[in-house]
Amino acid sequence: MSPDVSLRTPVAPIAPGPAAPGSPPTIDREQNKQRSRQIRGATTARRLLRILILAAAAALAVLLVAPVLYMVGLSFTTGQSFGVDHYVTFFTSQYYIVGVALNSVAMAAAGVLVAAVFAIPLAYVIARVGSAGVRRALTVALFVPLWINSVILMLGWYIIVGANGIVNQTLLMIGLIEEPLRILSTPTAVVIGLAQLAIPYIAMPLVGVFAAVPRSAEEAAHVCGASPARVFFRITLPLSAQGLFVGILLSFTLSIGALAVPNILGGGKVRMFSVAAYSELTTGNFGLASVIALVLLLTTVLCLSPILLLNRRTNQHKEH
Amino acid sequence: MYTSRTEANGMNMTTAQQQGLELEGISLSLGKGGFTIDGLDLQAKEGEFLSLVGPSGCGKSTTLRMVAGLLSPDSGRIRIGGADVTDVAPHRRRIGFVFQDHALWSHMTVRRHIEFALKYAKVPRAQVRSRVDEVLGLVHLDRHADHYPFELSGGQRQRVSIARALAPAPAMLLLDEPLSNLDRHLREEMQREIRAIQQRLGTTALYVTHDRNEALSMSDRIAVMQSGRLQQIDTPSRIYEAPTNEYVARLLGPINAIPSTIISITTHLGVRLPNGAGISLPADACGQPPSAPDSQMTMLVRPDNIMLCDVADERHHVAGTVASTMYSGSSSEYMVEVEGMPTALKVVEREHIREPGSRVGLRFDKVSFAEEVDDVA
Repeated sequence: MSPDVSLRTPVAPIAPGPAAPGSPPTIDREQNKQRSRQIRGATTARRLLRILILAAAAALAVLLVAPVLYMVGLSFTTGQSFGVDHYVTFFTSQYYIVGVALNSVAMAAAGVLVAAVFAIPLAYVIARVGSAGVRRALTVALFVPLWINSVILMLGWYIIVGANGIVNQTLLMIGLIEEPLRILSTPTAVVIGLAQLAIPYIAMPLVGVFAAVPRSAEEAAHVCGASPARVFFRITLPLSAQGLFVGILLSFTLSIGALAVPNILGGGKVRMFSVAAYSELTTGNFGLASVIALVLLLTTVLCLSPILLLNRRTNQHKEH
Repeated sequence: MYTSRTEANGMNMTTAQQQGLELEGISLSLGKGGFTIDGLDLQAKEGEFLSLVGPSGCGKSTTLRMVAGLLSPDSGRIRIGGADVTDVAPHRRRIGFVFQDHALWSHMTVRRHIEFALKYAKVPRAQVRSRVDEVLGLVHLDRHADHYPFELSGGQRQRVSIARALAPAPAMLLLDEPLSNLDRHLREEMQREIRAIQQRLGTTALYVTHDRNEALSMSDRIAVMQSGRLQQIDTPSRIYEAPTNEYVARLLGPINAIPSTIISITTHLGVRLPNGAGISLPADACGQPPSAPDSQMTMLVRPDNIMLCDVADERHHVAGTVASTMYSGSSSEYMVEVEGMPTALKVVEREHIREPGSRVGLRFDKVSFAEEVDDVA
């Protein structure tokens, strides 16, 4: 689609129809002058918009497309010559297919799921706060944990779920367990970490859409005979599906590519894409690292495409 | 099928005499706004169409929301069909509620809306489909069953809302200014339809509106509210012709309020007007008769209850001069100045024959008396 076509704004609403016969010609001339002034203004704005779009496209090309193309080139380079050796290495290895790719998908999905369980009620409570100022403040507060570097944030979990952490101390004291639970360096710890980072990304878009669901839509369902829980799951949440989709898209993309979380909480035992790519990079195997990165990209797109399709379907039912 | 009503599950019948709706001593104060409803008593008979009328903030919508259970009164009891529902959750009250903004669910088709309502009314699955078709036929939406709300016009959306409220054969139908978002033409059409459907199904209906014409044309009875209090409750014609105070009178249409003194009460009423003229009115021309002789009261007269005649005609009560006229097709409005009266009188006549400046006689055909109130909002 050429930008020329997409940017052409219809001129019709600006220009009034032909003057009624018999109307004084002075008014006609005045209208014409005004019309041409408006058109000139519109043309300038359109030209500016075109320049801005070209600039954005150029930045995108240099910063995103070029590195990816470079990476594609790297992935096909073995030593000095062209070859698919790195792809063969990746796709014939149980370690990469199951241990890295499938494990990453499972970790990210579990993290997003756990985060959603916490984020959805949280967002609903925030959205139903009466004052708009308090609502905004609470939405910002969602992101306060992310102001701390994620490495330090993850180290915090050592204090909580470590062998001598709060959770184990408490459980030992109550006598529910006899020796400390091993949570660190397990997939569970990674899911906890990923979920923590994902909560704000799921909650934030949801606050907006929850707040936009009319009270009367919920009340209508309630009066119809649906209990408050049913009202939420059959009316409020479906009406907010788009916000949930956005949150899932954001948080899944972040989770599946996570590096610090699996490295720190997984203790090197939980393999994910970025961990594997990083270890290849540190040994100088740029080719295999590129393959891992490209598979990560494709996996992310593949996993999110059902959501994108669902989102499109939901869009069609929305009121304009 | 809708008129036969099964007993609400979980509600025990407290009174043998079946009442549509009964509010007893309802009080509620909401927040710092100083908004209060104070000891409201209100009854709607089984199958009755009762309108709540008043300016915004008078508590009419709040009352409706309390009947639905969306708000809880601080004190008082609410009974629907004889069953006390004061402490029953909204989803167990068997209420049909029509919202001002329609409150449709944009992710559901028209059919799914009705099915949703029927599902919780525990209608057997086998009957759902025919019931949906029947209800949609009732509101003329049979051909739109599979449309989404965004594909419907404003009037059609409100029909969906009405169908959803009526489908489970509710114990009570509540309507909160359902027509105020529609254009004038559609509004009149929907007034007729809502009334016809309600009468056909025999559902008790509580209808909140600030539109006096809507209230007058649709209701069995009208309840006028002011600042959380019930001012008057009566049939549309009684409340229009015989308002008990100037507030009620003004709310339902233009009114002339004439401060006057009652001289005598027999088969005829002797009334002295502010200009000193004494007039005699037959007692049956009085909507609300005055309380006692020698009292100061406000005589309320509708502009269409004053007849203009020539000064020579002996039937007139007072004489005055036409100050201005306004022709509006089906009727004409005159402002008539009478010497000694504080304000000019508004008169509506069928014919447009009087000119400004001409002398006319005025005859009061129907009046109502109210206690004098200094400040009328």
